[in-house]
Amino acid sequence: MQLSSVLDKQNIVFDLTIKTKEELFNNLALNLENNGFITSARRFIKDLKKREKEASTGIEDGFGIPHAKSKAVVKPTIAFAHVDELSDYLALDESRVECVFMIAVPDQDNVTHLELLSFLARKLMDDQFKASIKMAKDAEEIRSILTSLGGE
Amino acid sequence: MKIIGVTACPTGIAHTYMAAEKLQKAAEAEGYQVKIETQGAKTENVLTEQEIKEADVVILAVDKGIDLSRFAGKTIKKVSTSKAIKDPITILEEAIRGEGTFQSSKDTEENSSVSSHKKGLYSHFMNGVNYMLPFVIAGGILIAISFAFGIEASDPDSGKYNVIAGALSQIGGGTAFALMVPALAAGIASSIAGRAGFAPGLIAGTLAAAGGSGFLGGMIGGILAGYVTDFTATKIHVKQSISAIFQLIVVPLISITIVGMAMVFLIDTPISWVLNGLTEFLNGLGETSGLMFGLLIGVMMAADMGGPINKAISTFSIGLMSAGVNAPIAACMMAGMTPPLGLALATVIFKNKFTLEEKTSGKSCWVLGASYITEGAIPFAVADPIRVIPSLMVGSAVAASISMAAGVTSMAPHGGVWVMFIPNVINNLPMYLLALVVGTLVTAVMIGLLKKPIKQEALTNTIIE
Repeated sequence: MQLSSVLDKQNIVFDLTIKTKEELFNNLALNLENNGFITSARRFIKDLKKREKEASTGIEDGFGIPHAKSKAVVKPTIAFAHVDELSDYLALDESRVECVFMIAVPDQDNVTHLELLSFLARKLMDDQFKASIKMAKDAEEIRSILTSLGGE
Repeated sequence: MKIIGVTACPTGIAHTYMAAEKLQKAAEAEGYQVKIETQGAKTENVLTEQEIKEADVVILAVDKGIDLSRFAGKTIKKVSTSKAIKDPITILEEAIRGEGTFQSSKDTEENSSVSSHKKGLYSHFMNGVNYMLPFVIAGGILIAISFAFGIEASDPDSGKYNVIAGALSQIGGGTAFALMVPALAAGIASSIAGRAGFAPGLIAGTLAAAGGSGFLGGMIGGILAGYVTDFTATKIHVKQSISAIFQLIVVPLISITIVGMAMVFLIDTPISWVLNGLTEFLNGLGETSGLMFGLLIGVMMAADMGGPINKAISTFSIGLMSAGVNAPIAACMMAGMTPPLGLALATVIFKNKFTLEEKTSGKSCWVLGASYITEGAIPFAVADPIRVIPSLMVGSAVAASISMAAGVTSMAPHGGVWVMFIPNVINNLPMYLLALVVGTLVTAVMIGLLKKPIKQEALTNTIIE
């Protein structure tokens, strides 16, 4: 299965007017709801925030990986957003998050998809991968980077 | 250099794998042999016994509890996943140099029991507290609600008897509170000896409750039951063929007999002597000066919260009521209210000195304290007896002596703040409220001064788990 298969083109957002974590979550979740990947943006955001409370999901170099297992999720999905540097969403290295892969997983899920997501999590530790994602200018570029990674 | 590790995070989607990737890369860059097991949504890349045996160092990057028994005898470096993602090289270096590492227990023969011994008394007590908490909180609040029907509404002999109040009191006071100490002892014993410890612990706790030794007796009983059972179940070797029968019949029989006998003859009997002695001592005191008697009442009320010392003084004070002396019972009630109230206040002021669970149960302590249900303080006392009990004693002593010195009397033996505002129950309400506020403040400040801050790591662990 391809990593790109869980990242729908509709769920890729480039929007520099997004300035806070709240706006980011709202925007991506509403998008997912409108496109039928989750049943309730409100519930999903609640679950995202619950995870965020345990520890920030910011990683490094301006990357964040907000994620939640939620009853509201229909099928495992990734959303991507490149937004303005968010002052209220800091990565482990104190950098401001600007690129996020948001991971949505149903409460009960089969393992195949999870393997795919863990593959992405591992990839995010790779500097080259991060640099190319950061440089990408549109949804097509993001998808082709993911496609080039292949999958399992 | 051979390095192995385990990574795990609560959701098992992202951080488990990111931490594994970082550690793996860092170790490979240094030219070490490395294998990292990921305990995510499912466990992958599982470490074999052989690999664990050959490894020089074990790195755990985990945000939740994992089973350590496999790593007995190994040098372990334990960090959070975010630390591993942020700074894998430092962690690797520190692990190799032995900085901030710990040795897991050497005894590899009996992994399960060894790891539980390693946990130490504190965690056994905490397990007991977890078993006990629902009884304390639900029971206490039900009793408090029964007061709302009127302070005598739960008494069938009273003219103001109400069926619902009677039922609430029977559920809360008669049942939940009666099971509180048994649950505590069973929780402690299960933490030490596993499931086999439950029955002996329950019996030890019930004997402690019946024998009047209260929660301190329950703690001792729970420890005793746990270790006796653990010893019988694991240290006595029997032939394989009769091992099943041994575990099913002999272990419970022996451990329950030993523990039961010990509770009856070594704990309960001396406790009843203490109770008698104290009662005689109090009878001999007669009408001592108010302030000193107030101090005594406070110290005794908070000493064991429902144990023999507390019982001696409260029964004595209730006895004095029938003689028309109503000041001691007012002081008793005061001294019984400040421990939960002071703890509740302390959890608000000194946030870093309590676990998340304690902060939550601190909230219910407001209700329990206000209702003169001193038992609300017990979970805190069990978790840290040496610091908490003296603090409670000081606060209660201050509160009770203010009440006695001001000559406050109460016509009601129970009810807390719910009876205070009924006209003519308390003769000097302003001074009584002053005693309540001062006692609560003193208790909270004492706890704040004595209690040590929770270690940051332990704090985050409890949050994440």
